[in-house]
Amino acid sequence: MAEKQILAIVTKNREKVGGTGPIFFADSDEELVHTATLLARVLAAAVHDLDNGSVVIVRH
Amino acid sequence: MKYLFTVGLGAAAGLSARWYMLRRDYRQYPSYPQGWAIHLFLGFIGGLIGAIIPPAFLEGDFSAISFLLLAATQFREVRNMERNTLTAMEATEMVGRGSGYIEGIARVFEARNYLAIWVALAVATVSEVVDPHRPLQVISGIVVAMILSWLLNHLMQGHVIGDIADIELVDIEFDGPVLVAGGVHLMNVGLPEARQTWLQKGLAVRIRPKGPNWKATLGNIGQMQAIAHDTSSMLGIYMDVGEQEFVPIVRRERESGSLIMIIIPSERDGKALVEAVSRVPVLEGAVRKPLQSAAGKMLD
Repeated sequence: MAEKQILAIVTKNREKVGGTGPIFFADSDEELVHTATLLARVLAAAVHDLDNGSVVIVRH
Repeated sequence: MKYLFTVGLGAAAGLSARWYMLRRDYRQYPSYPQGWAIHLFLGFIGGLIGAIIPPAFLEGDFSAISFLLLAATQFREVRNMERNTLTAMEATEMVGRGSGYIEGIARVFEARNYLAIWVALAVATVSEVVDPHRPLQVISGIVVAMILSWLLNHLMQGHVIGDIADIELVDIEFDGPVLVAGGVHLMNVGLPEARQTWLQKGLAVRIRPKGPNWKATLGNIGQMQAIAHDTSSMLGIYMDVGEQEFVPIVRRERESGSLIMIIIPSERDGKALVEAVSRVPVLEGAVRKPLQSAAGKMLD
């Protein structure tokens, strides 16, 4: 299995995230999805939903 | 040179046998025409080696035979060559073959050269037995070559997934962001748009093994990747470079050992998908026979 890597996090919920990776904040669901889509296209990676108002952009 | 006819006949038989075993199907491998040129030439060399062995024996030239046997071992290189080519091309495939499939293909190509040598050897032997009756040499050579090529090719044919498993379509649904098919969690799809695409265009199949031996075989990761690759190459695939959320995925149902595959083919046709999956070859390197062990029998 190839190495997986979290490239970025997009979240609506500032309290739920932290760490050293790039984190993008969104104010609404629409903005969250939009930012995540753009990031995924740029990074050629997949978007995975953590079901707590955050998504992670992961390269597989 | 009194053996020229026999050697020529044997080499031609080896070349024809190799040609007969080259197949052009959906995989387009070996590629045409350069790949064919390579393999036909190797087949000819193999045929020549096989054809020279009987005359060398008749002359009692055992050093020549030793050299010929040494030359025959050089065909190991064929496997390396195929492996290197396919591994180098792996990065250019939307859905990779996986190392299990690559090894399988490389092994087949090496083996086919040995089969060509066997055919040439047999034809040259028969030709020397009926020498110097030219028409009889040709006729018996052709008959032996045809029978042996067919037989060897027939024996070398492995199973396909349709032989070892039952394939049925299952529904795709979402549990929150998680794509579920046939009760198995396959992947987390983050974007609502991508979830819609899966629901509208995606298909899922369950591949249920026909027994414990085949259950172990289907559990091989190389076999799983081969199913994804071959199905994609037969049906086409709905994805662009880097769109990892649309990559076909094969996962295993822990309880039954069945495989579940999800894929978005170019066109949504369930029957075609079942047919495609059933035609995927079973990798020789993936076959396991736990039932032939004492412990395996106790579990069954």
